[in-house]
Amino acid sequence: MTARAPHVPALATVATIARREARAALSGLGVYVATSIAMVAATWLLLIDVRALRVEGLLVPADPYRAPLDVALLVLAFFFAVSAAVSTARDRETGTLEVLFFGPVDEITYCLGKVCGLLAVYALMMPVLALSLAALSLMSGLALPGSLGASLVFSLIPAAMVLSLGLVLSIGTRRVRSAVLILGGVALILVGGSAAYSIVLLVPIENPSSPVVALRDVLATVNGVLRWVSPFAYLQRIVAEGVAIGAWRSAAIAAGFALAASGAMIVLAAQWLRWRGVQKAGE
Amino acid sequence: MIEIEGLTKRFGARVAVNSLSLSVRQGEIYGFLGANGAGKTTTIRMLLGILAPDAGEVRVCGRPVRRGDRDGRMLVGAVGETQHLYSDMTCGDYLMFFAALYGLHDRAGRVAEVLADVGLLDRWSDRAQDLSKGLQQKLGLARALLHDPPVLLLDEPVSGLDPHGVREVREIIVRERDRGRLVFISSHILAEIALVADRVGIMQKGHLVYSDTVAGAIEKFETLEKAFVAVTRYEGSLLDLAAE
Repeated sequence: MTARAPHVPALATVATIARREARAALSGLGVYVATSIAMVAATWLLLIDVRALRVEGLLVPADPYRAPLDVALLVLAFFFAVSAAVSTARDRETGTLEVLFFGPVDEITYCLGKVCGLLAVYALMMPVLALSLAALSLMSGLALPGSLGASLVFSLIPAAMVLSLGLVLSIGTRRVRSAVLILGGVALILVGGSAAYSIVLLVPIENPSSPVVALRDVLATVNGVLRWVSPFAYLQRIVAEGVAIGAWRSAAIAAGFALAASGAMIVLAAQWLRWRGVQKAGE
Repeated sequence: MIEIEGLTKRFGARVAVNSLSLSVRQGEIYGFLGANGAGKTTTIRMLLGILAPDAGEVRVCGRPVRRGDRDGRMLVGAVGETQHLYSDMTCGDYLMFFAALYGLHDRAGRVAEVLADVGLLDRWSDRAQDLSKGLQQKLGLARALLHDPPVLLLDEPVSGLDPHGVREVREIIVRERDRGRLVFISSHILAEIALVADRVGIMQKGHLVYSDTVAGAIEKFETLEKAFVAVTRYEGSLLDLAAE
């Protein structure tokens, strides 16, 4: 005789893991420190424009909040990617991962729960960011862009992609430290590639046969590739180059790719976890 | 009921479990004995569907165990040698989290019930990681009992416990057997198994080299320890040993 096992819907399992993840993130200091750093960076960038306007009488950019918002979102997204990596690697390092799998948890519900929980906390930080920017607007007299709300909402999509990257990179590691180092290295390559291209563009070219031209061409190719593969580039493409300037079509295309890539990375993470097993490191 | 047929698991060239076949009835405590590395934990992981076997089949309550079968895990409560608790949770939080995972309805009521069952009701608000090893083990048992599973899989449940802890865990195990659960205990603490188990199986290098009732083993070898030593000093099965 075959016993009928009670059924727990997969979504309920995802929600339980997500709640646990969100609660753990909110009860730690990290998320508040990261949000504070994001705001300090945004304030500093905005102050550069305010100073230019008041002291030197220079014109400020059409959207003075674009760069501050970009940087604030980048800091937050990176923090949440690290959180996903640390949380997953810690589950393996401490052995809680295997105990979790004694219950009705499988690889995909686990990975989805992790991403959804941290994404929920990221979403909770968006009103905090909006209020902080509103306070800055009051103090500086620079009006907030009308697209701010939409930018913050749409930033959830690339944030999911960045989180999924953190998750997938941590599955292969045995220790928290390795997960952070690997994620840091990958982020450095992804963000550094685009940054290097931006810097090289500033170098004046006096001679067409200058090696800077060749370097610029190489970095242009690298940057072109990174724009399609780097989760951090999608943050830029969807928010700064899309929603913020009303380029909805390109924002929608990038958002579609980001969602598909997030899904693919979560499935990859689940498959990798299935292949590696859930045993504690060293067992 | 647990039915294992021709179960085999390899890790590279090493065969951790080799053609293991056995069955355990409901309301029975089965002592699964073996030295470290004999294949006990690997077998339990396959029983849970955490590891996929290379060959053979496992059925729990008639249901084939498949890797990642979430519903199948609802039939089993498992406790490992170490509990690996979350550092930020109290005993109550910990069990409430698992009660939610198991989709239980009256979570607080059920958590209170199992905490009372294992004698930890007054520890609801204590940080789980601050408990002694014995109490952590009891908390693990409470977690395994939350969803009222017909089968309990216990991997070295009394290893490292003081005599009081051992006695308390033993009482819980026997009580759960008397309530009709099948209890499958892997251990290398023979004296403990002799006290609680109805039947035993002895593993050596992935092979089940001996299987009998505890009474039968004691009748043949005087003690379980002597049975274990006699069987495991020999590479083959007990039948070969008897022939020798």
